[in-house]
Amino acid sequence: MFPGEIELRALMIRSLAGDAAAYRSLLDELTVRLRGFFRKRLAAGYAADAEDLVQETLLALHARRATYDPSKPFTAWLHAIAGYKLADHLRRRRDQPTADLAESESVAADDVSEGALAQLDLSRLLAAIPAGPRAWIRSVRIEGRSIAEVAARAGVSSSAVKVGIHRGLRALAGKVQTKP
Amino acid sequence: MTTNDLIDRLVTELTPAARGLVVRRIAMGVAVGLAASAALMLTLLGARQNLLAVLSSEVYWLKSGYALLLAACGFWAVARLSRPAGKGGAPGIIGALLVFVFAGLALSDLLAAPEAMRAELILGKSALVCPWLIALLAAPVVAGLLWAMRGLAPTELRGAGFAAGLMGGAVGAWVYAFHCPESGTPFIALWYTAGIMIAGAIGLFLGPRLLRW
Repeated sequence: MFPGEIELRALMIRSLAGDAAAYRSLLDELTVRLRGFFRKRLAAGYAADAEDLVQETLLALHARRATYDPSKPFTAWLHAIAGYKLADHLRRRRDQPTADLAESESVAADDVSEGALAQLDLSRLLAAIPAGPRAWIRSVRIEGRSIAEVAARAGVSSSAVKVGIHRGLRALAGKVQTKP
Repeated sequence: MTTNDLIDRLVTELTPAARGLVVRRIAMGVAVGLAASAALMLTLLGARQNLLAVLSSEVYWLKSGYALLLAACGFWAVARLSRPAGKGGAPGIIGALLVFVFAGLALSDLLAAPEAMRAELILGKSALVCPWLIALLAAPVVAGLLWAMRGLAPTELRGAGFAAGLMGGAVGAWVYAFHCPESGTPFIALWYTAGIMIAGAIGLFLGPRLLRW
């Protein structure tokens, strides 16, 4: 079982019943995870491909969501789709260098759990700091957006974002250190 | 399109998912394939004479029971392999057990028979055509299954194709039993199984080519 299974499966089951709010949370959460999953497995410089794969996987999830059996683990289902899309992508573009082909071929195996675990711990820690700085840290430090872009979207100055991220990270560091 | 736009679009397009879609779609593929296969058998080969008498014979039930049990395993495997992360292990093991049990039964029949009759029990009169005719009758069912799986989400295409081939083969064998004049269990254990395996090999070959999505 992959981390986040219980929350994600609950969201998926509500989505299958037609709950749009649950579906949005699910897709938002999965986008972050899938982005990490694909970026880790494609060579640096192929971030655009990773984003294409994220979208392809979300589309596949949407179109084939009825093939999810609610009595089975959701994350395994999702990782099988992501792994399939990645393998298909690599097959179509054999000439493209990858970060590590051997690793890419075994994406359906549990080596994804490490990244997902880190992802989950991060989500849990991030949940402890205020929403504004949290979103900025996510955008800038995890998704790799520029500070200017994030500031423009939030409607604040770049320095406010910088300070917010700095304070948020310091708060996070404090949380990590006080953990047993 | 940015990923956020995509998510917006998908959320607005969300409708409650169809329940039981996987099984329903596979059943539809089998039904259409089975109808075509039966039509092929009736026009090309013809059902046996005195079919009613045949239907009450023990060997007919062995033949058709063997084929139907294998088809049930095949259906189970196809249904599992049509879903992402689905594995065909359990149905595969049960299917292999069925083959071994039936082979054991056939072997005991063979050993119990007088030596002079053994060649007849193994080869019958149609050993050379039986597996090929089963594979032929399997073809529409395999096609129906591959069509069904294309609309689902198999992620292990070789396994999925193989399962579709084996299930189509088992259904083809069941249809063939309405024509087949043979009555020895060794014949069935060998040539029916061979026909089913030919269909399985065809599915194994076609899976990665036809099931991509």
